Amino acid sequence: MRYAILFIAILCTGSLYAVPVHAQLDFGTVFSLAIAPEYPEGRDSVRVTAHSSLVDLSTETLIWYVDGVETASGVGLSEIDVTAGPLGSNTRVEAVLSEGGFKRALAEAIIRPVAMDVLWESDSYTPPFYRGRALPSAGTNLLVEAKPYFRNTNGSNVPIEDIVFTWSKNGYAVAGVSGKGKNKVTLPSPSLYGSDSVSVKARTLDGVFAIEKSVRIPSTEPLLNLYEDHPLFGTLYHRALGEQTVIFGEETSFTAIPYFASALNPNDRSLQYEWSVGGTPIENSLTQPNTITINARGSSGNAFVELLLSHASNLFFRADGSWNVQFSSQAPGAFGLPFTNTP
Amino acid sequence: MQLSRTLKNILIAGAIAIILGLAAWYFYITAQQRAIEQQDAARGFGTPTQSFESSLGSTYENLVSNISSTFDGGTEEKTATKAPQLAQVTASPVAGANFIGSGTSTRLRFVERSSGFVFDADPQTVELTRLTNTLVPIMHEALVVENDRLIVRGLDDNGAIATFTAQIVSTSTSADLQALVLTRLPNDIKTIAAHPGGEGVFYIGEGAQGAVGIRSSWDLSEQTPVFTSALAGWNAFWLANDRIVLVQRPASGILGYAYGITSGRLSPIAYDVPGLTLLPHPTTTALLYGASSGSSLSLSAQIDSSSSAVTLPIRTIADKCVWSPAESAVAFCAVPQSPTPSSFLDLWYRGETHTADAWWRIDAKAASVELVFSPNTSVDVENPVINKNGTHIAFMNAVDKSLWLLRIAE
Repeated sequence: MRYAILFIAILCTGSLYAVPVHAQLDFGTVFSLAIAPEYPEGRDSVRVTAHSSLVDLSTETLIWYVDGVETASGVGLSEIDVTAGPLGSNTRVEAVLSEGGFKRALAEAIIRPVAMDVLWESDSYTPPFYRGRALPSAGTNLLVEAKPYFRNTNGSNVPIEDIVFTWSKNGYAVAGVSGKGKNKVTLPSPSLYGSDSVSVKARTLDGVFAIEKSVRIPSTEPLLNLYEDHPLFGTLYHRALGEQTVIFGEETSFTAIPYFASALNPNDRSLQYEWSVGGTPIENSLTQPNTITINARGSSGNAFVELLLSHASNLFFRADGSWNVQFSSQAPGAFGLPFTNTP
Repeated sequence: MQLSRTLKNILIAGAIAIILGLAAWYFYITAQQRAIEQQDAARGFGTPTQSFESSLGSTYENLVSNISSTFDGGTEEKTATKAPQLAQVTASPVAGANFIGSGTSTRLRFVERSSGFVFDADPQTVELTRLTNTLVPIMHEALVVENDRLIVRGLDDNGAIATFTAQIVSTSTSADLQALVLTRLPNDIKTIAAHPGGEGVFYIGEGAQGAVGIRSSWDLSEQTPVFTSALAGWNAFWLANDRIVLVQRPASGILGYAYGITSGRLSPIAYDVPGLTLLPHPTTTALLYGASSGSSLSLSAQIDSSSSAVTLPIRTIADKCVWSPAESAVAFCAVPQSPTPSSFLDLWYRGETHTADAWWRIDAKAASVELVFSPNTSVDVENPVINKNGTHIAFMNAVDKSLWLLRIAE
């Protein structure tokens, strides 16, 4: 399980309990507990270690209790492994420093499993009905969302509005996006060929729950694919043209799709298409510059299509592609196979 | 007398002229009709009389006149014989399909991509019956559910995704063909799922702070937000137990998450899985999920929410799987028969690569797999669905969006 565990209370750090059970405690002893890792996975083994700045624990007898049950004891036994409970549970770990049957000091920790997912996607362009993730490229934005699971013992979740989020990018706090209830941020995508580490720390106002998590997000180069724009079936997004493609018919329209580009749609005015066929530049359609229609009547039937895509304001944006299209008069046979291609 | 003879000759000449005129008119009309028929034939309208009178209609006849050559014996002969174990239902691209009804009344219902016409196929014979005559051109996606309800999706003139709930209703003008009554939903719905019984829809639209998931009645009169996110890229399932499952859209090597929504509460069901594809069981908490990263491709099964997942000895993605309704914790998956390229998931979603799949049976409890069917022809399985008896699987071939039917049990 991925439930990270919060060690929220390391008690008795320089303080002693004025309760009957601690009546014999030796005032002045500094005794505390720590867990490792700080945010371990849920139901994993959590190592609890006792520390003291004044007492040599290797020569002392320690008695360990988990939820009130003695689980281990021994001289120099300064650490134990505890299995965390499920989300919403509290596991109380106590260590007692014992000497001659008397309890000199006690330290306590409460392990509360917590979890947090950090999800992200980009606002880059993907075509309609695309089932994959929109990936970030230079010039696009990252949409990041943290989903913490701070579950109380009564089963209720701490509302997002009661959690303070602190966002940082590559180790530096991001101004203006952190604060109470701010579990969603929009950040600039990583630069070309780069990657960013985005971290978020979530903490309740009372400090009972806290967790921190980081994700590394790489930048992606925009990708240019060419698809047939069929008069009956629309753009055939399920069949990208390969380097060598055979088209049945004399005239066919093609649509270029700039995956992960910084654009609202493929005909975004910021995108600049430069088409050429057989080395000859082709004038773009005014309304659909990402579409080209090729009529092979009276020609050899081969068309070498090249496309260069750039961005009006993003100098780092560039994508290109070339496709060798052979038009064939041979009947396609089956109705649904308008062309074949060779990747 | 002379006058009478002259009058008689005039009448005879007039009659002959009339007869010749009628004959000339007849030949002229016949020639014109032949010319029109030739023009129609040249345009592909080869069987106008049969088309208008049959239950299939002219457009469909025109479309499948090419298709029938790919069948054994064509459409008419196909209806008379039992379909082979793997049969192509239609070579014409479809937008979506699902099984409707149960037992002997089970039909495979699908939406033709070019026209939006709805058809039923008999799973035993693959005989087709056209149901609707409402033209809804170029449908990219269709979800078919019970109670004659569908969701159809295409693009409007501005390139925005147009989504409609649709109901098949009888009309007074045609005894055979029915109308498809459409109700348009908001533009640019990224994801939509239909209640299995057609009682409602769940869709993710744009909200004030990102995306919002709306649970709606079928007629859109009642709409309840049940989910908000900064992210719009989700794939959704609406399961029979009224549970909605959301899976973050995957990319190879990128961690993915999945959540269940029950009674408005979001609970994680899969997390930190690279290239996560997921198929929830429609009635239990069992899961099939795939992981994709680089050249690595794996499929795991989890029989319930408290059990550990086990990795299965097949390399495929959950998109190519379907749970069997006839056996507990049994699924059928299409598995590529050849090694897939690196970042296969991304390439496949973009239509840059295709596979030739074989069908395997998955026993999630035993974590075992068994080859069920290895086709002679190459089919790249997507959107598989299974009938209620668990005897037939229908799927689309991602290469050309044709519809296929596989018999896995009698």
